[in-house]
Amino acid sequence: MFGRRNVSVTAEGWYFLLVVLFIVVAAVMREVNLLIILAGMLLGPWLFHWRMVVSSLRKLEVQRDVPGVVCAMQPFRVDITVHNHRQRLGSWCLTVEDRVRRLDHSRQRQVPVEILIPYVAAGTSSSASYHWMIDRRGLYELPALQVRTRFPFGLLQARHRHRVEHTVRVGPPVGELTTAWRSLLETNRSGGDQAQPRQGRSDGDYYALRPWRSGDNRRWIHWRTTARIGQPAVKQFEQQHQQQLVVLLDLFDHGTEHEADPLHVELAASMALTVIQDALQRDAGQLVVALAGESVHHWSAHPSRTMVEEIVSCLATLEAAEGLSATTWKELHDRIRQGSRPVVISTRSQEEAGLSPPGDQITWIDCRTEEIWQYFRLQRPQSTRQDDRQSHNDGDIS
Amino acid sequence: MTSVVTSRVEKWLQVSIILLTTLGATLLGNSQGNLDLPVLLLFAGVTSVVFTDRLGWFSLPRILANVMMILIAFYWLCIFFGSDAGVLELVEAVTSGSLAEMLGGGTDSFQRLLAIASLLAYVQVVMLYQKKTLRIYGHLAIFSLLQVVIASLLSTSFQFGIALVFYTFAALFTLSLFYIFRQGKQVQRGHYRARRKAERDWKRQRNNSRLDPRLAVFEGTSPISSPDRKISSTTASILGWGFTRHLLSIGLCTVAFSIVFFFCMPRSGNSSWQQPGFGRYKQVGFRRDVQLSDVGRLLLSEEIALRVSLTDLETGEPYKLFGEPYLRGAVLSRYRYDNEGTSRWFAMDPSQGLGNEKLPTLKPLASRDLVKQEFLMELNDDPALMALFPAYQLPETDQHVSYDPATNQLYLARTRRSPVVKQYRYVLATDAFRSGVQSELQLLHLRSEREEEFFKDELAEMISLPPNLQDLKRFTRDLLDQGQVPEENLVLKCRTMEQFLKSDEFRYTLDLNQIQPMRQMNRDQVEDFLLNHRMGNCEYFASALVLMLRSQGIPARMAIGFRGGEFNPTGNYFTVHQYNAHAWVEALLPAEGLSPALVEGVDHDTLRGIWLRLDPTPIFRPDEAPPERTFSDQIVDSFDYMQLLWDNNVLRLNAQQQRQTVFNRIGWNPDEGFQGMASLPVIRWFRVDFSRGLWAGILSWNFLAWLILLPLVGWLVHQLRRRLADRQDGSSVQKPASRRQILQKAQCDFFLHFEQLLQRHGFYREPAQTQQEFVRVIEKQLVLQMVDFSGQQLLTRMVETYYRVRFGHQPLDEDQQQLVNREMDQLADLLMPASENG
Repeated sequence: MFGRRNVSVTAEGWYFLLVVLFIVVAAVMREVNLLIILAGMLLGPWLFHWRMVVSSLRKLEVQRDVPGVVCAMQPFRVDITVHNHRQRLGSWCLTVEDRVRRLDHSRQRQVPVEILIPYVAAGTSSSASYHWMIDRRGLYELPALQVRTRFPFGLLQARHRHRVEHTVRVGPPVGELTTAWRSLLETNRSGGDQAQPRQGRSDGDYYALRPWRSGDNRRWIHWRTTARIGQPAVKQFEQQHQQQLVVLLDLFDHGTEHEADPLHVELAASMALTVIQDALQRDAGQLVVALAGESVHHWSAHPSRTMVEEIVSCLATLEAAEGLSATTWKELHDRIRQGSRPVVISTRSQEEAGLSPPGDQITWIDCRTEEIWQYFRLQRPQSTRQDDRQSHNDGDIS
Repeated sequence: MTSVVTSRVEKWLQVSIILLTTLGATLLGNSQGNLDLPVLLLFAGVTSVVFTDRLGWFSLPRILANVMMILIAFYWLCIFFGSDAGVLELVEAVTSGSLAEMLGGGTDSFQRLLAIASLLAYVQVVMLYQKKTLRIYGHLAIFSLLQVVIASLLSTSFQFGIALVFYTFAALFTLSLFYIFRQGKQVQRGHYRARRKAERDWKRQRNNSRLDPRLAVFEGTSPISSPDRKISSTTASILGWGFTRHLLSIGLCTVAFSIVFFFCMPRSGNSSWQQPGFGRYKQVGFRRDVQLSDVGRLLLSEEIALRVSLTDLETGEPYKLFGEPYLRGAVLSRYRYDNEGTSRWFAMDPSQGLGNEKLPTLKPLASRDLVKQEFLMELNDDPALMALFPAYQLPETDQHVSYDPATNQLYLARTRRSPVVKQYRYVLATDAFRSGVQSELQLLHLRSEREEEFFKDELAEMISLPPNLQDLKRFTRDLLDQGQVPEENLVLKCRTMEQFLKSDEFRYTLDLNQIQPMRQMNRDQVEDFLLNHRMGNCEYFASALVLMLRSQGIPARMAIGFRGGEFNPTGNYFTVHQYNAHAWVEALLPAEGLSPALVEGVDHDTLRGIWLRLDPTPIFRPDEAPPERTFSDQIVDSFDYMQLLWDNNVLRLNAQQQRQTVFNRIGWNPDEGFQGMASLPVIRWFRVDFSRGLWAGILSWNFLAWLILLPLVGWLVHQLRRRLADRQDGSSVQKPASRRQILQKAQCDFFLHFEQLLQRHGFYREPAQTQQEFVRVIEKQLVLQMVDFSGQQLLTRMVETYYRVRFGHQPLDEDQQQLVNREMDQLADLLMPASENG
């Protein structure tokens, strides 16, 4: 559990050693006794520093807590916990170096991040957390953690690698749906089932908590959670609506070298996930989802967090390939109720796909056309500049 | 003008840097007796922290600071290379191209070191007024260390050692704070760089004209990280009592290590020069020639001339002395009176090859005590060494102590290559004491023909009397006749003359200006003293007695050195100051007629006579009781003793002394190298034989057996300790954590204070009441009690903050903590009327 620790001299350490060497040589050559004392007073901290950095990393155990599935462009929190199993001697100023690397892109360099843990007393543990924000979907690896310390003087550094490895599935980013999309949904519903107002807890089974929104019944407020998270949270119930939203994602690989093709795939995946998230938040009745790329996955249930997590997980690694085929379409058809109008988000046109659904009409959104921007938009988060300004104001960066 | 936001770590770093630079300059100032630099640096440090670092009113731009530093460097380098010109003169010399001639003056090493030290200090002042960066902090610390290096070359006082300990602690704290500050910056910079890289990627993608800008966002940038808590808050949380205690313990260990390192580091040779090699000399007090003066006022110099301790060679105990010791530095046998009316005393010409003879070794006499005399002498340009005569060589006597039989003088034999030193420590033996009293008689032995020749020359001088001293001769004859002193009783003759000079007819004075109005310029100065004005210092009295003795055919010479000194009972030694300088007389009497007890065991073949010490100066008042020692005297004594210990054991620790005090005690002879280690008691206990060489010892059965046995025993002890510790952990019943501990662990101390505040006003939370319910109840009560109560928002925010920290695991950072404290104060103010009413 506690492997070998490496100790090295830092740049400041070499500088310090140079000065010490100069003083020691002068003291020895001239035999000036006060210089010998001074040399001792410089060598002493060096030796104690060496013992300190070596001892500080002994019997440390490091854990990482990271969500398994996240969405791109949304910060997710990583908790690092350090347990000090020693009976005496705490560890000060530990630097934990974490990295992230996209697994399927070997060319991409690992991006490091350092976390400072101020103090771990003997026999206790201490935690620190930070956030990653990853822009692109995929399977990411958080490899072994490296714990370092240079405490107390920064002249020597001891480091130890802890084999704590995690993978994170990063789904596509969630954007915003426009009013045109709402109108489109309403149009699809016209003549069909009408949305029913929520009437009370007897209308469905409780299955989760969600943030409070205007219009929610106050009786649904879950006070304990509200107190814990500092903002109102309400219980959510599964309701037996008669509505059905069918979302089909068709990731077709055109096989060309066009630069924009991969981005169209990302766009389609992002919009599909945005629509699904929207359905989850709006309790949009039954949700039928099919994701077709190099493989085909489908769900048919009332939207829930678990279901969305599965979808995000699947979308994280779904690559464009054959897409939605006639066979798949036929299988799905049985699940689609009468009157529902499926929405197909595709990287090709309906004509290219050659799919003509019997009976019902479908809404086909080709990501290569301008049409998609009527319903969907995605903006990159602007938080980075604010963070920079904050850092400058804090005097952390100079 | 806005104040600069500074993290807590940086604030402490600024303070510790000021402390470090001031301490460094103080060490330097202490060694050169000048406190200008520390005061300047302290002033610059405090003002820079207030006006530059905290208020941000001004800071030196980098270019301006660099120019200033170059000018400072130029000025002090000019002084380093020998110029004593001012700044304007130097500038003029540069413009006129005559700088090279100006720098040709040359300077000593002391001045050069001071120039470097001053350069460092003034550059530090400029740096202090710059905006502080990591580079500036680093340079300030390094420059301070270099100042201490220079101070260690110049300093001799033991206060340096004490200040060095404080400096070490300050340096350790500064180094640690610097590291924490730097580490925080590094971590923050990592996040910052990741964001900047992502930002650059994003800009590049947006500017890619071939793509739809709306699609560019999907191309992705490198991952961005951000800390969950402000780095400055994280680093600030390191500081505390635990951190301080930890550094203090490292500091103490460092001091202990330095002491061990200092005493155990082998010195290369039998050198006595282990002291600062630079110093300034002051030529006051003792001089090796005497010139009688009749003008001016002699000032008593408080300068320490030497310290001497006496040890009984047989018992090793401090030797108890009654009366004041006479420490002889030189003997002056030649008397000359020039036409200008000045009397002078000179020593005999030194023999060829100064210092090529050693003192005789000690031969114990039954009638005398054998005493070791140990000197620590402040040197000047004169190589003369003091001693209690007769002096003898001891095995530990330094090889540089030499004796010149021509001048009867002890010398410090220096060569051109010898370093210039301020202090010198040497050890001799003497048998001048009998039952604690320094004998007035000293046997004259001439052990070689060379010594016989030198003595003949000196004797000729010692019996000669200038022809112009007939009045003196007549007066002395009359004096003896009046006293009816028998012609053959030489001792009585000497005593009569001595007592005459000590009588009230003569007055001791250091104000020689009093002599001038009464001076008869046609007379010899000594004769004039004896027959006319009868005022003078010890040189006058000694001169008069010598010439009086010579006028009666008794060979005599003047001895100069020191008499007395302050006895330090703490360290059992005499501190002899320059004002203890003294002159007395040695009269040579024939050896015949001495009492048998005095010459028992003496080699009669070499015995040529006996010196009788006579002191005609009426300065000593044995009837006066010594003043009572006060507490301040004891403190002064202690300080002086500390200085002596510092001088003996630190400044002048040489290979020989190290061997005696350190290596001999652990039983190791460093000359024998590794094989000498075999004689160490600890090695002998293990029965490993290294006497046949290192490898033979390692490959012996005993060594191999210990090699296996010792780790095995260590492992067993370790296992036993682990088992015991586990058992203790298992058996100990852990007390349930108190509410205070729980809240402190969750960093919710503020809510504990909040509840205590409310309790002081009579509001107690029920056990089953949630915090929110509690606050609601209080709100209602307060509104009923106080119509104008407006603190509902404060109460609500406090509870919300508590929930966020306690259950949301979001600890308060520094700013939030301050906000909570402010709100708590506001609440306390609002509640005050309620409690007063209630």
